[in-house]
Amino acid sequence: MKNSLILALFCLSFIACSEDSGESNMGYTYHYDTSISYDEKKLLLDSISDCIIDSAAIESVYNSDTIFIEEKDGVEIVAFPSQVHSYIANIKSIGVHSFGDTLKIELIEKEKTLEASFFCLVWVYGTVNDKIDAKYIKTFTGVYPLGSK
Amino acid sequence: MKKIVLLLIFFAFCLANAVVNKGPSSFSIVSFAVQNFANNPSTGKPWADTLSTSIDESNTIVNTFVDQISSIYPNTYFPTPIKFHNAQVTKSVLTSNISDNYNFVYINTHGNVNFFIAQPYNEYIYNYNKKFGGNTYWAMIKACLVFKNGEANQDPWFNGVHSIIGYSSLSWGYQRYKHYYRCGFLNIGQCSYSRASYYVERDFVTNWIREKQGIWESYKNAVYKWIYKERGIGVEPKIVYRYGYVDGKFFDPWEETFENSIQKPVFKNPGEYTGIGSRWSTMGTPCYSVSCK
Repeated sequence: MKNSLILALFCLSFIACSEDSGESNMGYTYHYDTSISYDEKKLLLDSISDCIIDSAAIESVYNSDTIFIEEKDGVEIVAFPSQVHSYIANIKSIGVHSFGDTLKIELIEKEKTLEASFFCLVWVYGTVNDKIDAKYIKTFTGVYPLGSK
Repeated sequence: MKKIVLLLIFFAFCLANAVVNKGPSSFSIVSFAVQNFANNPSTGKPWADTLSTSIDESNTIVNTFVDQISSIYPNTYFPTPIKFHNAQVTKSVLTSNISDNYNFVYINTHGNVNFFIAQPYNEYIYNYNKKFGGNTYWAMIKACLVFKNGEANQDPWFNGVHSIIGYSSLSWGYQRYKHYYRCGFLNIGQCSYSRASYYVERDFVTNWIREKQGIWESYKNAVYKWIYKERGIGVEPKIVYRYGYVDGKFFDPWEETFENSIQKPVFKNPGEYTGIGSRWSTMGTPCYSVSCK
């Protein structure tokens, strides 16, 4: 009887001391499509512009009809429009994923954040590190024919 | 004689307890919230990220006003609030004079310096597109960076509105979640409490109506509690206003209480006000467009 009591007290104190706090869905997420895998080496991130907030400049983003790959000093570079959903310094790389003749491009984030009510159009500049075999580029802002200069 | 005196004392006691808080004779609110944005015809996907908490936040501010005013100021006439959600939040509606008919205008969408976005695709409302006035005395814009320090121009939004509350930094939302912990006898029970970003709206209204704090204190305290203290996220809430003299008395709108609020537009025209003011509170390390401070 005495042993059972000691055992019961031991179990209760074990339960009392055990860690059992936790949260359900704290809400931190990446703000790009994480359901597909991306090649982060094909296009190397060079820089990202500040958010475009001027109305005429915003129009120029949406009116952009072709994305060009340009050669400069023996290096191929590309500039394309996109949107940032957390803050610009949180972007670590350009992720690409091929769908037939279309290259889907996402801005890969360093860390998960909560949802921000943030509207930020940007121009992204990258170096082509591996041959791009696509007719179209799809970013958050649109689908653009791919051309070369 | 003794009975009459007792009766009079009884009536006096009843009257003393029946005193109703004096508040505005009427109050009205309209809300605009976008959760799901129209598709970009080029990609077939929404042209801006979904804001999963915006409608909850919008409903919360409206419902809390209804609850608090009906209990604290039962004599205040409160017409049925009007809510615009998702596809209804168009640029044409927002820039029309519909909102001028309401004392409090609540807007929840994406934004950046001097503008917020509307529906359908590719619609923007800049500070030169929208003026808050008519019967609108207060507005709240829950969108990032609209009043960013050092960059935003707040004055074009004003046309009689007393003050507008919003953010100088990025603003954040999170859905309701539960935190579980041990409790009770020998700690063997399990208890929980909930948190949600719409508690900001709930507590702002509670602080302003029930606790009778000034509008800025009400808002700042609510943001501090549920965004910075609870989640540890840096943020910079801000209030913007014009100040000066109303009927010979100095009026600083950031400290306006609901109970003693001025029931008319103020400082509508140049020369009617002394200056343009703003207050903000930097909580932790706020994020701005490029990085976190």
